Amino acid sequence: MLAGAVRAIPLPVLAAGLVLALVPLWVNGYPLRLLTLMFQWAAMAGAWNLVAGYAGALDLGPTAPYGVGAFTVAILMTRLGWPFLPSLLAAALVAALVAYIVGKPTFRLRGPYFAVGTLALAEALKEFLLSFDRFAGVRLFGGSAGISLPLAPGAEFFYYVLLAIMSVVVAASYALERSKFGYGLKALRDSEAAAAAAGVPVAALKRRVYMLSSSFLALVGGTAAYWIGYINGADSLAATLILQTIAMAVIGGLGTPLGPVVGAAVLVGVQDWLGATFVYDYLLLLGLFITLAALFFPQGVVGLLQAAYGRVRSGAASGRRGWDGRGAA
Amino acid sequence: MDGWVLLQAIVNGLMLGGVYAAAGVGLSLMFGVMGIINVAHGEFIMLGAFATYWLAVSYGVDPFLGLVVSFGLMFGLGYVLQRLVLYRVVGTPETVPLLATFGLGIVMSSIALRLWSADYRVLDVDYLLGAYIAGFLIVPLNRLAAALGAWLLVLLLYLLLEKTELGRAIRATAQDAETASLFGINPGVIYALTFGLAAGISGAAGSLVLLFDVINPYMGLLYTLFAFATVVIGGTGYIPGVFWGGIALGVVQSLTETYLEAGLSLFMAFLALYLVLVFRPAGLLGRGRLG
Repeated sequence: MLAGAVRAIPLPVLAAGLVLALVPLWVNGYPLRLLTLMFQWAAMAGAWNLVAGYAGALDLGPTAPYGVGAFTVAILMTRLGWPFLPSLLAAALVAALVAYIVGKPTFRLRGPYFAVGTLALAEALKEFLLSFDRFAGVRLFGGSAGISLPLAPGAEFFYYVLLAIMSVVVAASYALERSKFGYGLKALRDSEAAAAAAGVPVAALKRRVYMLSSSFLALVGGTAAYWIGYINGADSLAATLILQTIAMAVIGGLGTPLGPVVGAAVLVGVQDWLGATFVYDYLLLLGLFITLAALFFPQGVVGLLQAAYGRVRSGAASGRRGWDGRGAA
Repeated sequence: MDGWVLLQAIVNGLMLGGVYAAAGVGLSLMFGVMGIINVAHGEFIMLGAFATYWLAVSYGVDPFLGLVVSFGLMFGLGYVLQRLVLYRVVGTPETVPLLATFGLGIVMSSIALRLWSADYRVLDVDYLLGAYIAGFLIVPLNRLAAALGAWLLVLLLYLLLEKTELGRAIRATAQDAETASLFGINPGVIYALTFGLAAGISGAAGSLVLLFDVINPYMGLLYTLFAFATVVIGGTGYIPGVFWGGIALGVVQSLTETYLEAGLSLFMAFLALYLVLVFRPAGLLGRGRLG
């Protein structure tokens, strides 16, 4: 699987990854932090893309596994004194387990029902985390006061951890494009009934990709928790996290390995450019981008580029099909 | 005494459920006619609440008159959005309307945030400050007025759909837009009118929320979920179901607040939504479109 994944990655992408690994030799301070933030969002949007882009199920609750990851890491580190990396791996396992349990009933939902069901799940988890301690009379999730994590190492550490997570997500997306698993997902995305009739184990594939996506989201959530140093239910499961994740994947290109990376780079750049004083403008732009992308270029930036490239190379529009089944522009 | 506490919890839940019915009925209508789930639904409720709030605070307009204005404003906004933007999503794969309305909702709430800040706002209506008291039971007038107003709105919409020419045209379009157009109905106009009605009723529901609760630009998402829970529990696409769905949701929340922990009431609401979606997709009454 691993060797196959690496072989599925185009050479320029591998080279770009290696260059990124060397960047901290020359860059530090704010630019390094900005790159790290891009990796974090690229990994998050990429993990979401596995379910939404490849399996065609619009998950509106990616903050649920993200939050599970954040709280697992925080609790293991502060309560049991575990080091960060084992805590992070445990977080991914916990999230995969939760996804296994929740996945079966949730994937009985289709289309808009799946979307709102997952949103309800994430909101329910948020309220649970915020009120459990007071209700049960214990100190576990910290209620609205949250949990403070142990002091974190410097920026370079997070640069490499998040670069690694992003790389794993991108590699997994490439591996999906070439594997039987991935073909099965694409078949069920285009038509679930047809895929099932052709012998694709629809339910099992959906559940498996949901588990994979959830454990990646938990890796991101756990790392972000350690990096920020403080979490609570309201912040870790905030609706703005869901918005950004979706906006990045959609703008970059759903169902493509590099779409979420491109989307994250664009939006983190836009956010940095607009700055803290224009927070509301940023949200407004996100909303506008999502609507326009859904209506006018559902294949995203990557899809547009591929279509343009395809036209240049073959002299005709040979673009891939958009994630919604429409042809590329 | 215990009996009074239970009765109080149920009465509170019933009144809350009335408002949920009005908050959810527009969502049900949109789904029934166009097959679209409008994720920006709660934003119309939020904007309606703010319209009534500003009319009352700036010009001393009575909130029930404000409700009519909110209805009109949101009707107009819904109609225009459908004609300019959302006509594109009818008949597209379901991800398109979800994402498009999701983005619209963010635009609407961030504009509201920009204009009015994240402050919580309350409107005290002086003639609704009292309460009916019977034994140990307390029925605040503002909550009662909100619930009665909400049920009246749902009833009016139901009558409009069942008894008028426009309602007949809407129902015909819902069943088969192509055949309806053969009989001289313009589905484009009907879709816009339907979205207008759905948005207008939601705006009016926002005015009713304002009578008894704080409002802020973030409330939209929460009300989208409440509306969805109401509709799903009552049975999607079955308009009278919102009456029962609202009551079920309101009573669940009210009982949680009384007997468990106030903070868990939203948790129970979302859990109820999830459980009904998964285990009784046609709603508690089994009359919904999804069986």
